[in-house]
Amino acid sequence: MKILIADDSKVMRQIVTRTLRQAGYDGHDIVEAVDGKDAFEKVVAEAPDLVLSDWNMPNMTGIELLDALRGAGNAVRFGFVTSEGSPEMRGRAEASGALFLIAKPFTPEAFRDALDAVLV
Amino acid sequence: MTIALLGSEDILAIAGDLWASYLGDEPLPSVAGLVVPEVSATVSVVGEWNGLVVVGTSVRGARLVGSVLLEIDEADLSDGDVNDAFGELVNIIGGNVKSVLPGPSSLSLPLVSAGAVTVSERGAAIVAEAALEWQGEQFEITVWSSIETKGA
Repeated sequence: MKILIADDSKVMRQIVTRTLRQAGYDGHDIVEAVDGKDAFEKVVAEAPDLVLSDWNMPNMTGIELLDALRGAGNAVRFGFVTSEGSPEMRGRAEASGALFLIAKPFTPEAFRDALDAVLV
Repeated sequence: MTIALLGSEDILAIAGDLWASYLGDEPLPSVAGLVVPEVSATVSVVGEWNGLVVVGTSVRGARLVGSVLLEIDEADLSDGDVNDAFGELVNIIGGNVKSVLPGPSSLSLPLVSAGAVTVSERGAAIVAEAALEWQGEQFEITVWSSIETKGA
């Protein structure tokens, strides 16, 4: 499986990758994107099975990325990994078609809870 | 009577979760003002609630954060690595702080700067602050609110 991780922080992309491994999701191909625009281009070019995206990013935010993908007819499985986990943000994410929102700081268990339900 | 939206115990709880999740061990509560920060990271919240979240520490404190988060030796860290790691720290704290404040509001991208951040008290007030000690270094977290913000 191919997983695209979109976050403007290299540190956080590494932590997400590490947590995927700790949650038992190792052995997958990881593609990294540095912002929403980069992620959109890489989703089109690389056709990942899952996108894990930050919300607040330069050039194109995570919610703008999701809306752009859906607007272009792309139905890639998409979840947020963000520092903001308020009910309002979760509602916006769900309304745009996100499958889950994992709030930072997260644990491997939070990844398992979110991913086991969508990676079948 | 104004009900406080946020207290130092909330900040310590957020920081405790953050440290436990990513930095290996929880910090100890400390006392604000023990040291003057050498590095500061900030995020702004703009919207229904307006304010600024600041984390300040020593150069060594910021480098320790970078070293642990990236799992590399301090000697191999670039300045960009340290700024990225310390900026992500304030991003996570700011996002969690924003989540307990009235919305809708937006969170800015983090900024990392040398020295202490000084906010003019003419237009802002400290809503909550907390200090903690980790690996022998002090970390101060301050939440400033615009005085015109509801609930400040």
